Amino acid sequence: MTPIQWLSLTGSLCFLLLVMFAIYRGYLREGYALLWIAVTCGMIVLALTPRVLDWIARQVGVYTPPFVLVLFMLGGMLLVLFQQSVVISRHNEKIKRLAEELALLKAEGKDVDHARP
Amino acid sequence: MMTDVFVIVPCFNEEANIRRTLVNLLKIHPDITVVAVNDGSSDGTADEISALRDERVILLELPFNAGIGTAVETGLLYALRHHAGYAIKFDSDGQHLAEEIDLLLEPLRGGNADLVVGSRFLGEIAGGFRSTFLRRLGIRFFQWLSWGLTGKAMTDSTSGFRAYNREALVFAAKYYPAFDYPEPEENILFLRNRFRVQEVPCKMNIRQGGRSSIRLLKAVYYMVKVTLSMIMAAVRPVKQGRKTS
Repeated sequence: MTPIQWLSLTGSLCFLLLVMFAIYRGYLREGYALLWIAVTCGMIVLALTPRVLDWIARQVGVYTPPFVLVLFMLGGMLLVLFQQSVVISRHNEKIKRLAEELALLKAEGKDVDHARP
Repeated sequence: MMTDVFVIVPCFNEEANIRRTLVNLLKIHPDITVVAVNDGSSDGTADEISALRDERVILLELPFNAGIGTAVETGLLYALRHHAGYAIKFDSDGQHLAEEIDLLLEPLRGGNADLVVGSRFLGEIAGGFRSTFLRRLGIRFFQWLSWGLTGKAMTDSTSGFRAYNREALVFAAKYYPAFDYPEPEENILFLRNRFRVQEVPCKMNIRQGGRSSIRLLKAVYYMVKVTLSMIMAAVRPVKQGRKTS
């Protein structure tokens, strides 16, 4: 195994542990962790199978097979970032709704106060 | 005496069934309180509930679709704040039978359990339930996983028909897994925190109208996510669990 394979293997394993620990402590929701876990597991499998790495490198026309690892990681991160953007947008919408509901509720509360004798 | 029983009915786009479900529920148990939680439905679910004009029915409206876990937790919080002695979770689609609520309450009233779950696969009734091969495979897997993680084989991990006594209600309102597909994780959470969880055999209906939220495409995501949640719930430290007396 080449140094970069060792590096990506140990790096991925450490990262997997970090993700698991975060779920365990409740910092990270299982639903959001699944993509991280999938990407990390993919990295581990690639690092452990140089033949697959070579094959992919030939198919996509990359001269140094370890570069496939870098490509895979970049692709994975792109996916995770995209997922985060979608989640943030969804949260924006929900926070807006909550603020509106709260404003309406406050007004209704005041109405009740006025109605008191 | 059923006045201290609160039945929580989470509803999402259920205008076709909700009225029938609630009317039937109140016909069989006239002195319960029904807490219908509308989880941001885009159809006429809320109107159908309001149209009942029944003071035994409380309508709670979430401002958007927040997920089944949040809907249930909202209902649990309402029940808790209004001094419920017992809380039942009841599906809006008519899948659960109002007649069987007594079956769930019995072990709670007798002081033999804290959480009672209605199971389609327990006892003689089991033969009556038909399902697809994949679904049965999933059910087997969860039975095995539940047994492996807690030592107790829940025969129907995904069942949403369940009853809580006061102590379980206090715990659930605080720690309910407020996300999608909470039931299997909830079972582990209760067992892990030393609550007495008991299953009782129930019939349940096949779904009338509407469709199951678990479709084939989502099945893989569901299996992986629920498995991970169950394992994590089993290894996390015990929270302020049931007082052992």
